[in-house]
Amino acid sequence: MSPPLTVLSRTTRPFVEAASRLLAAITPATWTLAVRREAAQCLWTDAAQILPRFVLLSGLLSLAIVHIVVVTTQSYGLSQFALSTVMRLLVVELLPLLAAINVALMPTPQGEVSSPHVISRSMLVIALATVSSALALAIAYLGVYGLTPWGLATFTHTVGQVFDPIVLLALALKTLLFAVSVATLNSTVLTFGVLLCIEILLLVIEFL
Amino acid sequence: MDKPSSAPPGVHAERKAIALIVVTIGLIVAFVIYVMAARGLFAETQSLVLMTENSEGVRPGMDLTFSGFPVGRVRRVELADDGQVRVLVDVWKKDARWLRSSSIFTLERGIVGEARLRVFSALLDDPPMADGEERPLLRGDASEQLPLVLANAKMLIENLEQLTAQGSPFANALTHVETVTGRMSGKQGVLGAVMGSEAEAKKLIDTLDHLNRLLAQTERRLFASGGLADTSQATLAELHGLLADARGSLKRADAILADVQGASADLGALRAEVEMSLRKTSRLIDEINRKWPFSRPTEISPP
Repeated sequence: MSPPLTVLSRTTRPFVEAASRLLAAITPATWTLAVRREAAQCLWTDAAQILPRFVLLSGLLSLAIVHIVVVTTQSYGLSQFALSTVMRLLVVELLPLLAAINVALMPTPQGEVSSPHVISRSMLVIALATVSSALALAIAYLGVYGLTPWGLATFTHTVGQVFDPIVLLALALKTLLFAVSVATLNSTVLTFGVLLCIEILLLVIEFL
Repeated sequence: MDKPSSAPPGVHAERKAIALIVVTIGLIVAFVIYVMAARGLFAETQSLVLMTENSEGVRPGMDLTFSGFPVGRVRRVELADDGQVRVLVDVWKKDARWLRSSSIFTLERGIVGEARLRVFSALLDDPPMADGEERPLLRGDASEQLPLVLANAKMLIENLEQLTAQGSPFANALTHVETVTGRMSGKQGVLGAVMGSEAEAKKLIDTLDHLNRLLAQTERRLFASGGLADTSQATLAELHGLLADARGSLKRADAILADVQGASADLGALRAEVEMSLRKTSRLIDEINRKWPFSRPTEISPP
């Protein structure tokens, strides 16, 4: 094999392996009772290990970012943009990426990554991103309006403005791609590179 | 075929995992429904068409607000056949009561932030706006005014430059003011500035001195003992005596005139007698003339 082909083969091998793992995981024949049970056990084991820690971390981060954004926008007389800024920053950009990075940093199983692990890790990324985003929205509401129900109409309206169909689709696609990348790729460095590429690609699509 | 890994089996791990999946999916579905509701997908709407000349700042999804509250959302922006811009707005039925036939729609663009689409309804008793009604959209663009403001500022600066330029009327006026104030600070003060030079001012002062001396002399001539005033007073006293004499003379003349008037009452009879005597004399002369040798032919011959 010529050197360029060797380099190409070496470069694409992890992606080919990742694709084969993904295909194996989503093939209905794979979803036997035993695999489903093992996937569920893996999911719960990993979730029990990472979920409380991640929820706490993302909650603190959300609290800090919400406070910074609210105070800064108030000082510049632009407080009407605080809520939408926080939503875009936390829910759309930061938290899905943080969830993926946290799962990627978890210890991987020795040897070949099995289908139950691919399923459980994908599910875990989606679960972490979802739970932390819900928490961030609640913190954003409390940070901007305080403990009162009277800001709910404005909050709902802002949610409607921020999450237009394109943003919603980009968010869903991003989380799904993050989940698949983290679950199927073996190398942590490669995973981070892919996460970065996905983030940039979706930012370009979103703001083009 | 993948082999199941040797993960430690937890108590009810499967159920908990399923619960986590259900919670996650539940959250995602709830969020999607919430976003759809927030975007007004379940709300009944009526249509409103706003016509304007320029679509800058208008984008689909932006709010139409009434008193700061969103009452509608821009659905589409399109060009009409006549070149005007049609802004199609979905107004929520529950908020449509704020839109009246007399409502005014404005698009305001600030220097900072996005444009704002607003509706103003001063008369809420007016009939409500119909579905699909077409209304004009007034634009109030702060940034559009910037070129005009800059042009005016430039013109102002140019005018200032012209005013302050060397040889300009204003600069000349300032030079003159400086000259005048320079003279005012001189020996003759304000008088020097008014008269134009110190020599002229000195002339005026000399004239004033001369006038002063003349006045002193006049005063002496007028009001000194035996002066013009005293003489005039004596003359007046004398004139007073003369007037008294004249008054007496006039009274005497009046008496004489009264006597003359009494005498003139007999003059009528005297005159009648004289006239009668004259008539008699005239008849006598006529008689004598008719007698010989004084008679003359009285025949009149034509020329």
